[in-house]
Amino acid sequence: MTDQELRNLLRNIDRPRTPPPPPASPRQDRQQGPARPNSANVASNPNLPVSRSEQDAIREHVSRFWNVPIGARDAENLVVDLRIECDPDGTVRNVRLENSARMASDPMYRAAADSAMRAVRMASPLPIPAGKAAQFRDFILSFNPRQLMGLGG
Amino acid sequence: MKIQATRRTMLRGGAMLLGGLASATALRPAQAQLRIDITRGRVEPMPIAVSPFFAAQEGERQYGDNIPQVVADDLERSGLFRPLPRASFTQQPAAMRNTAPRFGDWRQIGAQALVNGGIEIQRDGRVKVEFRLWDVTSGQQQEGQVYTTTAQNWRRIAHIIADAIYKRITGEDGYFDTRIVFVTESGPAQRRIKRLTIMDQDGANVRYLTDGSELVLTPRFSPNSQDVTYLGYVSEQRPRVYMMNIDSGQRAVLGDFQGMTFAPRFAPDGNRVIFSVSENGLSDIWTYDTRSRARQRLTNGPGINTAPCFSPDGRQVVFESDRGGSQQLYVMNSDGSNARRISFGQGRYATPVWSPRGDLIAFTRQGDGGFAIGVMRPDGSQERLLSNAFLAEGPTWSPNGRVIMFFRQSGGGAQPRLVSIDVTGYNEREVRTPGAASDPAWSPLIP
Repeated sequence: MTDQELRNLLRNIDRPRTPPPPPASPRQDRQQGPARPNSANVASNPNLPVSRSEQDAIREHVSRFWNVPIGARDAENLVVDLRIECDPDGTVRNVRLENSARMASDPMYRAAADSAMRAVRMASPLPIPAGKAAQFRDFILSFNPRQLMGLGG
Repeated sequence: MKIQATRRTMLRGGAMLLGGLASATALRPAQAQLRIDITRGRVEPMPIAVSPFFAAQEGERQYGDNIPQVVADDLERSGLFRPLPRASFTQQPAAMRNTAPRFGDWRQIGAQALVNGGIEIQRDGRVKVEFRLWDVTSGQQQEGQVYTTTAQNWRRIAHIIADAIYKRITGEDGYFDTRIVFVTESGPAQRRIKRLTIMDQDGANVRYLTDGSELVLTPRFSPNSQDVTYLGYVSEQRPRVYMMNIDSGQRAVLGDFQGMTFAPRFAPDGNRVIFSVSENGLSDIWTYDTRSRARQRLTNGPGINTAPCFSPDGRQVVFESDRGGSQQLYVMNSDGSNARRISFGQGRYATPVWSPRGDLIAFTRQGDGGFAIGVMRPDGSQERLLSNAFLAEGPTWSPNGRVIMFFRQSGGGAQPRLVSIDVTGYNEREVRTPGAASDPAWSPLIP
């Protein structure tokens, strides 16, 4: 699914478009397992930068498990930051919400946060690059539905 | 309808996989912390398992089967959930009765959420229904309620449960514990019989409010769902706006106007009705206070002004007018001042309806030999057409502003049908009705 297709999630029959094709089933992906390097066997160097393509691989992988809370109002205010702790093999050991106070007061935010946390749990293990386990011991995944809703930014 | 439901949140139970770990994790300094933005995702229905509810006694089993089925059907029709087939379930209701579900089993069949529960018929004959919603990926309970009600109210309990699940998972209020009032049509075109009809939003519990001896059109709910206002042609007299109490069937003409009155709709305060009064080929918009009987004129020409609808905050009114030469949508302040045109597309615009959440106005657009149902922002921007047909008219909003229902007729003498569509433009569905149906109006959530 391209960015452009996702921006067009709000359908307008005035300019006919075919709906975006359903993405590959994540269950199958899980059976096969993600492209997982043997990072556990490689000495981790905390000084190595995580490259753009390595970030993209994680982004791509997690995106396949994220069921976007479509139709949500005020999508620009629904950015969910999750603090992730990963084992060297990519297994997600812990997921924490950075702004958990909003969970109690804002049902829309709570739904968005739940959807992000479900995505991370289902996406575990993550395809973290070999030799860079230290950088993923504690990092942030920021789920941002703004661009998906066609509601700006 | 009396419902004696005691709602209380059950004690949180079950496995706390993540909660325990979180406290053991020491905060570390966040310098140069890696941050990855996820800006893409899937848009597809969430796989959910709605288990039959545990029922120990024979008489309880029908509820244990039927209530979760109605819940699953509600969720499925929303287009946001994909209830998994019962045949795929490997854990029996009894095995989850006093203990947390085996989440691994439910993950195995692809469920992301699980609903289970129990039924108990009490000594006084009332039915006690409890349910729990679980996040299968974390093993945590997300929702849990207990309701007690009379046996004939079991469908309402199912809808209330579906609303609770919908709200917890989407963050938006649900719309399943609602009703639709509409016009049932039968007979030949020349002698069409039209009856005011009410049913649950899923098509169950159909009841006729009028006997078909008079023509009825455009019914609309009051904000408390207890009354409807509609256009009626009684005994060949001129058409007038009526108000009817749904339970008692009592009705009355609204206001003593010389001309014909039509296109009624309640104001959000429930005390006033806004409608059109037609005289000498022109029509203007008035409000009528059902308690004080005070009348207020909001427009005074030029041309035809009709189909008024208040904004949910009561401060503005959207309506259709041909004052500019063609039929277009206008918004004015609720005192009639500051009318400005908001529609500028091709064709004629009609029947504007303000969304209950205020962000959109739904309308009918006619042109190019057909009709379309669309939405636009209240300032006229971001117009989108959702559905078109030979005839498509009369949009009405679900109370959460998420779904639009309207009626549609194909060419060639086909019967009119009710159709619902998500405001995103997807998930178009025909609504189950006892026969040909037109002019739907969606109730607020039942109090």
